[in-house]
Amino acid sequence: MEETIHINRRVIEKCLEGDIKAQYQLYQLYAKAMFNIAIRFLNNKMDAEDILQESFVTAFSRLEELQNRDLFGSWLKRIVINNCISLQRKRKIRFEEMDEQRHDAADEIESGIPEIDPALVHNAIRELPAKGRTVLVLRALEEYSHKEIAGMLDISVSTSKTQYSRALTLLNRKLKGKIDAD
Amino acid sequence: MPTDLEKYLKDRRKELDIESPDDQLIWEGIRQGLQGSRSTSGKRRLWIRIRNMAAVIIIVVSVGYMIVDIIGDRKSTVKITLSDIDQDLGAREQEYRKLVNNKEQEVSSFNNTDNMIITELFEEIQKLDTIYDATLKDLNELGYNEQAIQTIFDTYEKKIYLLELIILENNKIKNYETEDNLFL
Repeated sequence: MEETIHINRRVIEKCLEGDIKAQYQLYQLYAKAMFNIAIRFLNNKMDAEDILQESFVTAFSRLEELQNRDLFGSWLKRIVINNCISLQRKRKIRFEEMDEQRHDAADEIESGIPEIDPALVHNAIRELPAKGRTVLVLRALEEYSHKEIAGMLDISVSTSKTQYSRALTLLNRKLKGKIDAD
Repeated sequence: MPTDLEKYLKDRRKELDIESPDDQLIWEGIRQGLQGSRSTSGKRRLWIRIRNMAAVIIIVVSVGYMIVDIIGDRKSTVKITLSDIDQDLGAREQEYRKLVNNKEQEVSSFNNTDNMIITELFEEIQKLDTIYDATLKDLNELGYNEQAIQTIFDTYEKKIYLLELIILENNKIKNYETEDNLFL
């Protein structure tokens, strides 16, 4: 990990000098991960590619603003997520307030979760409704706190928790259905 | 306390990244964006993909002709149409033709010949027409061929799509729309 950060720092310095090879190196290092984040948010390949492109252009253009070079990855991820949320807002996806409810995962898959094919899980996440999917991705995969998510989406912490709980239950059901069908 | 599913999502986070972007096109768009020119939007990328696909079809059709020429087994042909092969196919083609004609009529009234995107789209339509002609000729010379029929309908669908892009681009110019508003 330390080695990666060290390499990144050197590559970023070169990017700041306008070195295209270094920019491409950085692109290759992060493109796939960022694309997958975007596609889980937007559930549309073309939109995700637009966001990826737009985010790298923003990152390279504003690289000087990044104080700590070691944090390039998280900084880029935040740009990608912000762009995804912004596109969702344009698409009129609103996160209404909700009372906090705990959806017990009563029908949770009893066993075999570690054996589930990740592709199956990825596709099941993409099938979730947009609002719940956004919160689930932010909380379970990107590990933001409910407080941070509430700030990003302009909702209350309890709404974030409820959306997350619902999405998790729904994901559980979808996976159970897919496993049963196999 | 996290559920098993939450634990799975956390532990196997990296394995969930199963999709890959089209690096070549995205990188080209990033470079254009950094140079301050208009970067490649999703629609434009789709159009580039159609162009690449069209190029592949042209090569396949050309190779097909070369093979037929080499074999030297060209049969004397009778001019056939899709309706000669099957009535349903003929009816389907008629519907496509009607749609294309309507859109072509709409497009013919536009006056944006100096617009680069529109010019490029017209060039792509010309290529599709060449593919269509070559495939129809293929069908006449070699007889019924499922793939050729599919190609014919494919060219109709792509032509309709390209004509719609021209209409959209023209409306954009007319209404001074921004790229962002286009997606709303």
